[in-house]
Amino acid sequence: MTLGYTPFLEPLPIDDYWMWLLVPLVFGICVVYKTIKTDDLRRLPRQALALTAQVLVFMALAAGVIWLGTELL
Amino acid sequence: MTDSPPQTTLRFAAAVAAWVFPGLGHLLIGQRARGFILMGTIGGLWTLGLLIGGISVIEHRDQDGKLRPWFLGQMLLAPTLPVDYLHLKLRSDHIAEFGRLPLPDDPTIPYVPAIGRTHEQGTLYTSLAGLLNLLAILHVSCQPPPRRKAATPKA
Repeated sequence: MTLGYTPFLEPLPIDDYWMWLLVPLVFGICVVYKTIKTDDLRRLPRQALALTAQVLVFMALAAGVIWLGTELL
Repeated sequence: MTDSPPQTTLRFAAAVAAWVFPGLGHLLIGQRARGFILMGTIGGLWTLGLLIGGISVIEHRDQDGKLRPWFLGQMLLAPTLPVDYLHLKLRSDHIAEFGRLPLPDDPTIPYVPAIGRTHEQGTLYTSLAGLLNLLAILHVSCQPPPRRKAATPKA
């Protein structure tokens, strides 16, 4: 039997853009963290988006610094 | 001050419920909004991980019989256990029939094993979902019991 695409039995072809999957992963982590830390859940969307942006920006900066380090040294 | 037995029982039940299904513990203690958000987010990450890599990203032992450390994170969500059982059963059935592991290009295959980045991402998503659920379990274990409405004085 040859499978067509069957969800959960066949992996998605993500090899070319796997790094973009970092964004929903970081967003999910930030939502869960803020859901647990925040008392007022009405502020959750704004806080989760801000934290997601911070994490992604600092990860990009860290990647840039490491890349420069490997290129220059 | 120590908790009364019903409160301790409720917290324990909430922690177990949170392990069985993410967010269920918070629903049990009356924090509905928090429970639904955790259910959607943690459940979504876990499901997305399975969608990315398929069931082959969840296995407590690899082909050589070695324990996979990532499974420690994955098993913090109870739905991982039936998926692990299903994956290992399909794999052992295939080995029993054909005498070898399923390969991605195999014409007779019960599932397509994920390899490379796909396997990494699927494993990462499902393991982090489990670890986030641990955070939710610890949170729900430390919550005060749901408030009861004060009885209105009779006129």
